[in-house]
Amino acid sequence: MSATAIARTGEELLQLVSFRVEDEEFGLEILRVQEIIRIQQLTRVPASPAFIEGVINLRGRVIPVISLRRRFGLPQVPADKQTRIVVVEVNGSVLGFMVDAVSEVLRLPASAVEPAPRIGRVEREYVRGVGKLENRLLILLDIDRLMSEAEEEACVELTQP
Amino acid sequence: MINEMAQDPVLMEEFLTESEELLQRMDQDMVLLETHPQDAEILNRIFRALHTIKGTSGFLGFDAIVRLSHQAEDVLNFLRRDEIRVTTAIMDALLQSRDQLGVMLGDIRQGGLREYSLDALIAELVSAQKPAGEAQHKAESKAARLEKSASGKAGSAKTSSSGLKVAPAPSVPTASSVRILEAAASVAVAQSPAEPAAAPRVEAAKTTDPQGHTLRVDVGKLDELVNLIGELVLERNRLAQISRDLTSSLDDPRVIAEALSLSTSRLSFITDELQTTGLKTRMVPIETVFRKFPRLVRDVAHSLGKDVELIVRGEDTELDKTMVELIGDPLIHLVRNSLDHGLEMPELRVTKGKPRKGTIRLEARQEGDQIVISIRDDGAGIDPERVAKKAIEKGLVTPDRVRALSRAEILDFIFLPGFSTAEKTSNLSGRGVGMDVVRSNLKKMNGSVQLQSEVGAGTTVLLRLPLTLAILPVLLVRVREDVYALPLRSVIETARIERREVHKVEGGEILHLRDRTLPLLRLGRIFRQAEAPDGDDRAVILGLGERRVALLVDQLLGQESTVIKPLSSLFHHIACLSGATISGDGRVRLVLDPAGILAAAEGMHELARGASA
Repeated sequence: MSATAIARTGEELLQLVSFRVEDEEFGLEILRVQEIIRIQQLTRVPASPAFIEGVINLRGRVIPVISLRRRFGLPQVPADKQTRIVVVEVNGSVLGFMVDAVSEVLRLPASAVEPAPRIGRVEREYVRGVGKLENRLLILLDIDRLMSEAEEEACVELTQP
Repeated sequence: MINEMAQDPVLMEEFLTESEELLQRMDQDMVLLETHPQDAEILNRIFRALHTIKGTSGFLGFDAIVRLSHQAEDVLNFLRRDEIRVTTAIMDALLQSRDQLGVMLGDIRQGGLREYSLDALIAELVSAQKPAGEAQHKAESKAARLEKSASGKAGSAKTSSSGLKVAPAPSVPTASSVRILEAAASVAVAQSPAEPAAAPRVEAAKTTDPQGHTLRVDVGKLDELVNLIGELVLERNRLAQISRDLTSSLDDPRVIAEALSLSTSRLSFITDELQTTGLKTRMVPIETVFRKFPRLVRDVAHSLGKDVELIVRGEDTELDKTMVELIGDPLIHLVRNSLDHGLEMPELRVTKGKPRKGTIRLEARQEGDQIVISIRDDGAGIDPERVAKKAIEKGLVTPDRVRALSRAEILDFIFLPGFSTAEKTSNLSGRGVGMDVVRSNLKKMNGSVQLQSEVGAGTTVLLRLPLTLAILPVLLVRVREDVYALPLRSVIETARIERREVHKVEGGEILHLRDRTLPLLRLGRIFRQAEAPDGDDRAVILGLGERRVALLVDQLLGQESTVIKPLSSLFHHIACLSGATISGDGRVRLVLDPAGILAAAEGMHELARGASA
């Protein structure tokens, strides 16, 4: 998505991984995604912020898993065969986002992305924009923002008795 | 001028590492020389070290180093020939020169030599070369010599005397690097087969970190490592064969299964050994830290007007490289404390019937999977009453509570932030960075600190450290559906408890175990989870220093040696967790932090006391 790429193709193309949480579809830049894994045995971390589902063993690394359902204040559903963990690096640390299902990898022209209105239950500050596909909308998540605020909340939550 | 040899990063790294090591040893030797002025062996060691530094520096074109070390060398020559005697003034000049050389080497690491005003120091060295009260003419000839060497741009003239320039130009690089390598006795790398030597050498070339993240590894350890890797390769081949057999299904499945199980058990043996040996390569003798102390004690004792003997034991005790780096500052602090607050002035000692000379004993030893470092002085000791008084003044404790505390518990106040019993603050200790920093540093290393003191007889501080930061023996416990790992070294005992031994008190519960009363803690309570129906009847008694707490658990699952992994920063504010480990079935287990648990237990009881007061 560099300037030269735009110059060559005439238009910038976003490559996105799309996933579903509840009935919303989200998109995440493919370069941010390290891998997508099936749900596995989670270890709960007591006294951790509510949006943290637990920690998992990713080939010898212990990484936290964040439930996007919890983060967005959506009702909990039991994990099923569709449930996936999207592994992403945010601010130098690796973490997983638990989503209901991963749909596909798609390309979207940058021009099809519009600034975010307030959509559903997802707060606008975590949304980088909304991508228009043929017959549906894709919410482009700002995970850096999402996590830096999550971390602040975690600190506040736990320093208060 | 700095010649092109100085541009070679490998050569430079060798030169700096070697010279820094020599300087460190020299520090120790110089202090030793002051107390053993007749010991020719010490004198010769210092001379050789200085000569090596001078020689290599000359070869690399660091003229300022050559100039200074040459003068210091001259002083040593006079000492060797018994023409002058060791005095404090001479040793001061020599030690200062050593320090200056250290500064210069540091600057070279940072990019290059700067301008130094060495004249005062050199003048001191020159005047040291004068036998006290001897004829003037000798001093004059000395001065003439100095002038000559100074005007001759030091370097060139002196280098030839060190014999380096004799080698024909093209062969110089190899000759010098071999010489550098050989000079340091511990560098066995040069004589080792090329393969194992390659790794540390490459690393040495890459890093320019002044902290010295390079490691000299004993070739024996590397050989062992390479052997194990060889066995690993053999085992892999065997596994590959088994896999081929399976595909062609020529053999009986049972035979294949047997071969497979044999192979996996061999594999697990090899990987265990590999892990241990790998960790061993990170082990360095604690001597690298202890080396600093003779000098430190000498200088501080001089400035305080105290007479102190430092006894160092167990220098060859090995511990992890990371730990060696982290333990330096706490040790310096503790030794300074002993010098400053512990040991009395000589006159006072005499009136108390003690020897005039105070003793500080610095000792390291291995106890099981721990390293114990003790700092012992025969000073005034710590008066628990003064500590208690201070703690009350600072509002750290109420007078009522103090009465209920044991001696050891009162001494423990010293480790609280903001506590300092020094009546007047000196520039050495009592600067606010106190024992709390020592304790928190030790905690970072998964270690602990303990204090024993007797008024009038002295103080002993015991530091306990794990052998390595990486491997941690743990006790696995189940609390309802969660399994946790507790560092085994903090587990004092486990006990089956009965309901009648547990008593409700304000702010929590206590456990009567034999004749002791301990605060009792349920993990659910720390983590603010809903109380579960009583099912737990097992208690794990955790201890740190003199403090104890009983932790209720549902089941003891056994011991495991685990590799500790860091937890995401999202969890750093959870005080009772120190990391995670991965158990045999691949699941993550959280490692509980005994210090955090103790603090939580004490906090709860404290809260209750505050509310009732």
